[in-house]
Amino acid sequence: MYCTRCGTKNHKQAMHCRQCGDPLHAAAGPQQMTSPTHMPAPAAGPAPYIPTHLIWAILATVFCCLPFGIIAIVFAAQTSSRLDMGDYTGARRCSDTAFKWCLAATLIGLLWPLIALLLWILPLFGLALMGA
Amino acid sequence: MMERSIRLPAFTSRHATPIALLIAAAAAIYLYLFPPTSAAPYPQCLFHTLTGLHCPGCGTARSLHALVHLDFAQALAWNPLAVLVLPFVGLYGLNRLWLHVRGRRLIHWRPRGWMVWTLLVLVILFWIARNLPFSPFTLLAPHALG
Repeated sequence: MYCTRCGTKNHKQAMHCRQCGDPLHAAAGPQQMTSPTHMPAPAAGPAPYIPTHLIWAILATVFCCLPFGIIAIVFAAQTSSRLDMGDYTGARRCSDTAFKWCLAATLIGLLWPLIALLLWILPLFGLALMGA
Repeated sequence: MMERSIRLPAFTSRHATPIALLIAAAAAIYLYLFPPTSAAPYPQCLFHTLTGLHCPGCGTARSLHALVHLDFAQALAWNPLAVLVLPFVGLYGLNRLWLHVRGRRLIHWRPRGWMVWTLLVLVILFWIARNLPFSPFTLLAPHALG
Protein backbone atom coordinates (compact mmCIF):
# COMPACT_ATOMS: atom_id res chain seq x y z
CA MET A 1 0.00 0.00 0.00
CA TYR A 2 1.27 3.48 -0.86
CA CYS A 3 0.92 6.57 1.32
CA THR A 4 -1.39 9.18 -0.21
CA ARG A 5 0.69 11.98 1.24
CA CYS A 6 4.31 11.18 0.37
CA GLY A 7 4.05 8.10 -1.86
CA THR A 8 6.13 5.83 0.36
CA LYS A 9 5.42 2.11 -0.02
CA ASN A 10 4.19 0.67 3.27
CA HIS A 11 3.51 -2.69 4.81
CA LYS A 12 0.01 -4.06 4.13
CA GLN A 13 -1.07 -3.99 7.78
CA ALA A 14 0.59 -0.66 8.55
CA MET A 15 -1.69 1.86 10.28
CA HIS A 16 0.57 4.83 9.58
CA CYS A 17 3.05 5.73 6.87
CA ARG A 18 6.55 4.75 7.96
CA GLN A 19 7.98 7.88 6.37
CA CYS A 20 5.66 10.80 7.10
CA GLY A 21 3.42 9.23 9.73
CA ASP A 22 0.12 9.99 8.02
CA PRO A 23 -2.64 7.48 8.66
CA LEU A 24 -3.12 4.95 5.86
CA HIS A 25 -6.81 4.96 5.07
CA ALA A 26 -7.24 1.68 3.17
CA ALA A 27 -7.59 -0.29 6.43
CA ALA A 28 -10.20 2.09 7.91
CA GLY A 29 -13.80 0.99 7.61
CA PRO A 30 -15.80 3.03 5.07
CA GLN A 31 -18.89 3.08 7.31
CA GLN A 32 -17.08 5.53 9.60
CA MET A 33 -16.80 8.03 6.76
CA THR A 34 -20.49 8.00 5.79
CA SER A 35 -22.09 9.47 8.89
CA PRO A 36 -23.01 13.06 7.99
CA THR A 37 -24.72 13.75 11.33
CA HIS A 38 -21.50 13.29 13.31
CA MET A 39 -18.39 15.38 13.20
CA PRO A 40 -15.30 13.22 12.60
CA ALA A 41 -14.20 12.45 16.13
CA PRO A 42 -10.54 13.38 16.59
CA ALA A 43 -10.08 10.94 19.45
CA ALA A 44 -11.37 7.92 17.49
CA GLY A 45 -8.85 5.26 16.57
CA PRO A 46 -5.19 5.18 17.54
CA ALA A 47 -3.35 8.47 18.03
CA PRO A 48 -1.66 9.69 14.83
CA TYR A 49 2.06 9.23 14.61
CA ILE A 50 3.65 12.69 14.59
CA PRO A 51 7.45 12.75 14.58
CA THR A 52 9.09 15.02 17.15
CA HIS A 53 12.36 14.97 15.16
CA LEU A 54 14.10 14.81 18.57
CA ILE A 55 16.94 12.51 17.50
CA TRP A 56 17.63 14.62 14.43
CA ALA A 57 17.60 17.76 16.62
CA ILE A 58 20.05 16.16 19.08
CA LEU A 59 22.33 15.07 16.26
CA ALA A 60 22.18 18.59 14.81
CA THR A 61 23.14 19.98 18.25
CA VAL A 62 25.98 17.52 18.72
CA PHE A 63 27.36 17.78 15.17
CA CYS A 64 26.42 21.11 13.62
CA CYS A 65 27.64 23.32 16.44
CA LEU A 66 25.00 25.98 15.98
CA PRO A 67 22.13 27.16 18.18
CA PHE A 68 19.77 25.90 15.42
CA GLY A 69 19.90 22.39 16.88
CA ILE A 70 18.89 23.79 20.29
CA ILE A 71 15.93 25.62 18.69
CA ALA A 72 14.95 22.31 17.05
CA ILE A 73 15.03 20.63 20.50
CA VAL A 74 12.71 23.39 21.80
CA PHE A 75 10.17 22.55 19.09
CA ALA A 76 10.66 18.80 19.59
CA ALA A 77 9.83 19.38 23.28
CA GLN A 78 6.74 21.40 22.34
CA THR A 79 5.65 18.63 19.96
CA SER A 80 6.06 16.07 22.76
CA SER A 81 4.10 18.20 25.24
CA ARG A 82 1.26 18.70 22.74
CA LEU A 83 1.20 14.98 21.99
CA ASP A 84 0.94 14.34 25.75
CA MET A 85 -2.08 16.67 25.87
CA GLY A 86 -3.65 15.09 22.78
CA ASP A 87 -3.42 18.33 20.78
CA TYR A 88 -2.54 16.71 17.46
CA THR A 89 -3.06 19.79 15.28
CA GLY A 90 -0.66 21.80 17.41
CA ALA A 91 1.73 18.86 17.59
CA ARG A 92 1.76 18.59 13.79
CA ARG A 93 2.50 22.34 13.53
CA CYS A 94 5.38 22.15 16.06
CA SER A 95 6.66 18.98 14.39
CA ASP A 96 6.85 20.78 11.04
CA THR A 97 8.66 23.72 12.65
CA ALA A 98 11.12 21.33 14.33
CA PHE A 99 11.65 19.69 10.92
CA LYS A 100 12.53 23.05 9.34
CA TRP A 101 15.04 23.97 12.07
CA CYS A 102 16.62 20.52 11.83
CA LEU A 103 16.91 20.87 8.07
CA ALA A 104 18.37 24.39 8.39
CA ALA A 105 20.92 23.21 10.97
CA THR A 106 21.87 20.22 8.80
CA LEU A 107 22.25 22.30 5.63
CA ILE A 108 24.41 24.87 7.41
CA GLY A 109 26.38 22.07 9.03
CA LEU A 110 27.03 20.59 5.58
CA LEU A 111 27.56 23.87 3.69
CA TRP A 112 29.83 25.55 6.22
CA PRO A 113 32.74 23.07 5.76
CA LEU A 114 32.37 23.46 1.98
CA ILE A 115 32.58 27.24 2.27
CA ALA A 116 35.55 26.91 4.62
CA LEU A 117 37.23 24.55 2.16
CA LEU A 118 36.65 27.01 -0.70
CA LEU A 119 38.05 29.88 1.40
CA TRP A 120 41.09 27.71 2.04
CA ILE A 121 41.54 26.55 -1.58
CA LEU A 122 40.79 29.79 -3.46
CA PRO A 123 43.83 31.75 -2.14
CA LEU A 124 46.01 28.78 -3.18
CA PHE A 125 44.58 29.02 -6.69
CA GLY A 126 45.31 32.76 -6.62
CA LEU A 127 48.94 32.09 -5.64
CA ALA A 128 49.24 29.44 -8.36
CA LEU A 129 47.86 31.86 -10.96
CA MET A 130 50.23 34.61 -9.86
CA GLY A 131 53.14 32.18 -10.10
CA ALA A 132 52.06 31.14 -13.62
CA MET B 1 -4.89 22.09 7.65
CA MET B 2 -1.16 22.26 8.03
CA GLU B 3 0.80 21.33 4.97
CA ARG B 4 4.50 20.71 5.21
CA SER B 5 6.00 23.31 2.90
CA ILE B 6 9.52 21.88 2.86
CA ARG B 7 9.63 18.27 1.78
CA LEU B 8 12.61 16.07 1.07
CA PRO B 9 12.79 14.55 -2.43
CA ALA B 10 10.88 11.27 -2.75
CA PHE B 11 14.08 9.26 -3.24
CA THR B 12 15.57 10.64 -0.02
CA SER B 13 12.35 9.99 1.92
CA ARG B 14 12.03 6.38 0.81
CA HIS B 15 15.67 5.46 1.26
CA ALA B 16 16.43 7.62 4.31
CA THR B 17 17.21 4.65 6.56
CA PRO B 18 19.73 2.84 4.29
CA ILE B 19 21.32 6.17 3.31
CA ALA B 20 21.71 7.16 6.97
CA LEU B 21 23.20 3.74 7.81
CA LEU B 22 25.70 3.99 4.94
CA ILE B 23 26.73 7.50 5.99
CA ALA B 24 27.10 6.35 9.62
CA ALA B 25 29.23 3.35 8.55
CA ALA B 26 31.41 5.49 6.29
CA ALA B 27 31.83 8.07 9.07
CA ALA B 28 32.79 5.35 11.57
CA ILE B 29 35.47 3.98 9.22
CA TYR B 30 36.79 7.48 8.49
CA LEU B 31 36.85 8.28 12.21
CA TYR B 32 38.64 5.00 12.95
CA LEU B 33 41.36 5.64 10.36
CA PHE B 34 41.96 9.37 10.75
CA PRO B 35 42.15 11.01 14.19
CA PRO B 36 40.52 14.48 14.18
CA THR B 37 43.62 15.82 15.95
CA SER B 38 45.73 15.06 12.86
CA ALA B 39 45.91 16.98 9.60
CA ALA B 40 43.00 14.94 8.17
CA PRO B 41 40.26 17.21 6.84
CA TYR B 42 37.51 17.62 9.44
CA PRO B 43 34.90 20.37 9.49
CA GLN B 44 35.65 22.96 12.14
CA CYS B 45 32.91 24.16 14.47
CA LEU B 46 31.44 27.41 13.16
CA PHE B 47 30.42 28.60 16.64
CA HIS B 48 33.89 27.86 18.02
CA THR B 49 35.57 29.58 15.04
CA LEU B 50 33.44 32.71 15.47
CA THR B 51 33.42 33.03 19.27
CA GLY B 52 36.27 30.90 20.60
CA LEU B 53 33.79 29.31 23.03
CA HIS B 54 32.84 25.64 23.22
CA CYS B 55 29.40 24.65 21.95
CA PRO B 56 27.54 21.56 23.24
CA GLY B 57 28.93 19.63 20.26
CA CYS B 58 32.60 20.61 20.49
CA GLY B 59 34.75 17.49 20.82
CA THR B 60 32.18 15.15 19.23
CA ALA B 61 34.47 14.05 16.40
CA ARG B 62 37.39 13.41 18.78
CA SER B 63 34.99 11.67 21.18
CA LEU B 64 33.67 9.34 18.47
CA HIS B 65 37.22 8.65 17.34
CA ALA B 66 38.11 7.58 20.87
CA LEU B 67 34.92 5.55 21.04
CA VAL B 68 35.55 3.52 17.87
CA HIS B 69 38.98 2.79 19.41
CA LEU B 70 37.09 1.66 22.57
CA ASP B 71 38.72 4.31 24.75
CA PHE B 72 35.64 5.21 26.78
CA ALA B 73 37.36 7.46 29.35
CA GLN B 74 38.91 9.59 26.62
CA ALA B 75 35.59 9.66 24.73
CA LEU B 76 33.90 11.09 27.86
CA ALA B 77 36.71 13.61 28.28
CA TRP B 78 36.28 14.99 24.76
CA ASN B 79 32.48 15.28 24.90
CA PRO B 80 30.34 13.53 27.56
CA LEU B 81 27.09 14.61 25.87
CA ALA B 82 27.95 12.83 22.62
CA VAL B 83 28.69 9.59 24.50
CA LEU B 84 25.52 9.77 26.62
CA VAL B 85 23.33 10.50 23.62
CA LEU B 86 24.77 7.74 21.46
CA PRO B 87 22.82 4.76 22.95
CA PHE B 88 19.55 6.60 22.28
CA VAL B 89 20.61 7.36 18.71
CA GLY B 90 21.50 3.68 18.32
CA LEU B 91 18.09 2.54 19.62
CA TYR B 92 16.37 5.03 17.33
CA GLY B 93 18.42 3.72 14.39
CA LEU B 94 17.46 0.15 15.29
CA ASN B 95 13.80 1.19 15.42
CA ARG B 96 14.01 2.85 12.02
CA LEU B 97 15.80 -0.19 10.57
CA TRP B 98 13.06 -2.46 11.95
CA LEU B 99 10.45 -0.15 10.44
CA HIS B 100 12.21 -0.20 7.09
CA VAL B 101 12.60 -3.99 6.96
CA ARG B 102 9.53 -5.27 8.83
CA GLY B 103 7.11 -2.38 8.29
CA ARG B 104 6.51 -1.73 11.98
CA ARG B 105 8.29 -0.36 14.99
CA LEU B 106 10.24 -2.49 17.46
CA ILE B 107 9.83 -0.05 20.36
CA HIS B 108 6.48 1.72 20.67
CA TRP B 109 7.58 4.43 23.01
CA ARG B 110 8.29 8.10 22.71
CA PRO B 111 9.79 10.43 25.31
CA ARG B 112 7.20 12.48 27.22
CA GLY B 113 7.23 16.26 26.99
CA TRP B 114 8.84 16.83 30.40
CA MET B 115 11.74 14.53 29.49
CA VAL B 116 12.52 16.54 26.36
CA TRP B 117 12.27 19.83 28.29
CA THR B 118 14.66 18.38 30.92
CA LEU B 119 17.06 17.38 28.17
CA LEU B 120 16.90 20.90 26.73
CA VAL B 121 17.74 22.44 30.12
CA LEU B 122 20.60 19.95 30.61
CA VAL B 123 22.07 20.73 27.18
CA ILE B 124 21.96 24.49 27.85
CA LEU B 125 23.48 24.03 31.34
CA PHE B 126 26.17 21.82 29.77
CA TRP B 127 26.83 24.51 27.16
CA ILE B 128 27.32 27.16 29.87
CA ALA B 129 29.23 24.90 32.28
CA ARG B 130 31.86 23.74 29.80
CA ASN B 131 32.81 27.36 29.11
CA LEU B 132 33.39 28.27 32.77
CA PRO B 133 37.16 28.62 33.22
CA PHE B 134 37.49 27.20 36.76
CA SER B 135 38.07 23.85 38.32
CA PRO B 136 35.18 21.39 38.30
CA PHE B 137 33.74 22.79 35.07
CA THR B 138 36.94 22.60 33.03
CA LEU B 139 36.42 18.82 33.16
CA LEU B 140 33.43 19.29 30.87
CA ALA B 141 35.45 21.18 28.25
CA PRO B 142 37.14 19.02 25.61
CA HIS B 143 40.44 17.85 27.09
CA ALA B 144 43.02 15.15 26.40
CA LEU B 145 43.70 12.57 29.12
CA GLY B 146 47.19 11.63 30.18
